[in-house]
Amino acid sequence: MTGPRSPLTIADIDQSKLDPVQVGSPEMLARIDEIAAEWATRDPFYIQVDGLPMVVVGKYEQCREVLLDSETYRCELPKQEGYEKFDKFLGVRSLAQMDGEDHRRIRRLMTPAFSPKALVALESEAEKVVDGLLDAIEARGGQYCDGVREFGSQLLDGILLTSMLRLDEERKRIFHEMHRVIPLTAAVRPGEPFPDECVTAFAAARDTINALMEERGKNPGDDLISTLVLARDEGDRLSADELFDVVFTICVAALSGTARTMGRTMYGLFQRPKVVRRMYEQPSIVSQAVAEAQRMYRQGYFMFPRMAVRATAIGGTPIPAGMIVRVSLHAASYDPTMFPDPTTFDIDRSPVDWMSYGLGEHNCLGIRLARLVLRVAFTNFVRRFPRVRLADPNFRPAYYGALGELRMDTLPLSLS
Amino acid sequence: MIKILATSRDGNEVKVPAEPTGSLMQVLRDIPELNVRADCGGNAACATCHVFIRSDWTTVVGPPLSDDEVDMLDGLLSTTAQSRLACQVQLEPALDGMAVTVAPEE
Repeated sequence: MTGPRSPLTIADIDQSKLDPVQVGSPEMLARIDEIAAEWATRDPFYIQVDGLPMVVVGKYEQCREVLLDSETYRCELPKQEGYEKFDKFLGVRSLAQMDGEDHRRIRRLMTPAFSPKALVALESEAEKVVDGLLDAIEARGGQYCDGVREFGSQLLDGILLTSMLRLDEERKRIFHEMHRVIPLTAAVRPGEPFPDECVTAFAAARDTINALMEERGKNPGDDLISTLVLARDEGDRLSADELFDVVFTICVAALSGTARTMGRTMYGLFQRPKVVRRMYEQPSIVSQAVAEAQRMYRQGYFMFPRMAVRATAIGGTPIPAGMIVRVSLHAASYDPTMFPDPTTFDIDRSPVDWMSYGLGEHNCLGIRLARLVLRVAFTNFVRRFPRVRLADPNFRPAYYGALGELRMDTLPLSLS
Repeated sequence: MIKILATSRDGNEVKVPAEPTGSLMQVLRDIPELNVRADCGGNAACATCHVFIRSDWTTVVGPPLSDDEVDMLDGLLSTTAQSRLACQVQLEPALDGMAVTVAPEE
């Protein structure tokens, strides 16, 4: 796309609408749920990140307006100095950063791999992976476990990398390393190169994906990469470069997004013994409970960035052409006009998750996969350990990650 | 104005008044008890507005026309000969009285 000649500066905005919040600072992340609830009641306001002004949109209806207007708010950002931190995949064209017909075409080719029919076979695989992890926790004594290290992050390793992609241990290690370095891109300042360890990890992932595509192209199996290599639509198919970008995107989205979702959802649910009890006694409400936990404890406070390609305004806040727009669905999920008494955890809300996986043409392609994994994971976890709770009721996670992410390293749980 | 007779997943019938313009999804989405998510906003890209057209209306409504809609319906488990994505059904005066049922969530 053609972007502005140079990024906007602070001189381009009404500074009375500039919030001094240090986005991504430990102080901000420690209060992120309170902050999201506050943003839910404010019209759009500006923030500044490394000198670049952006606008934050948090009210439910205003978020919806941005997500449904893909003509004004585009996902492909300029590849030029000043925008380095948005290129967190080091040049890979992810589906979340494409627009228009390009986006529709790639998405159309990927869709069958994530359809309900395609996911039927995965349910039993997911059960096996989840039960295997729970067996291992039980074998270690079953009194305590780390929900993130021993379950949440292992889960996606098992389901995505082992069951869906059929990767061996060395290749899994390469993908984990790529996942580990992504937050480092958030620290890249305008004009600076990416850190060496990012470049090395991404190059290794690129070599691995290229090798996998070649192998699976010659000998297709029942794995996701083979399905994508063979994906066709009326004679159309993914090119080698597109296939690389797609596999990369799936790995990052699933490893990163779902691992974060697992951590935050466990934190939301396992601090509430009465909710856990209800999930144990009535497994049919597990999906509702998970959805409510995702509403209050979203895995990130910003969606992928968008850019306004024409001057506009939302809720009286001017949005100049070229401005980065940060939609906060974390904030929107606390909007009291949509969710009465939004800071109360209520699994009987209806509906609870209308935008939890996005909205519009960029809504999450893997939504059904994510829901399946979450349902199986929490149903089986609570069935195995019905007394699961935070080991320390006052535990507060120390979040970190790329701009907008809420990654957790640890979640100590008591199981008995 | 026309009227659409919509049945929710748990069998409740709702009479929905609608302007005969825009898509069926846009009308159903605004009725909370129908719980039509329409995640993709009308791009035939999520199938969360899947409905069954009552058989006496299928000829009037017609079959899916776009490859996108056909492909999305092909990937669902509950698709029948009455299936359409509501976002791809354009309302018009001839659809006054049409009866539809919201399909199961998948």
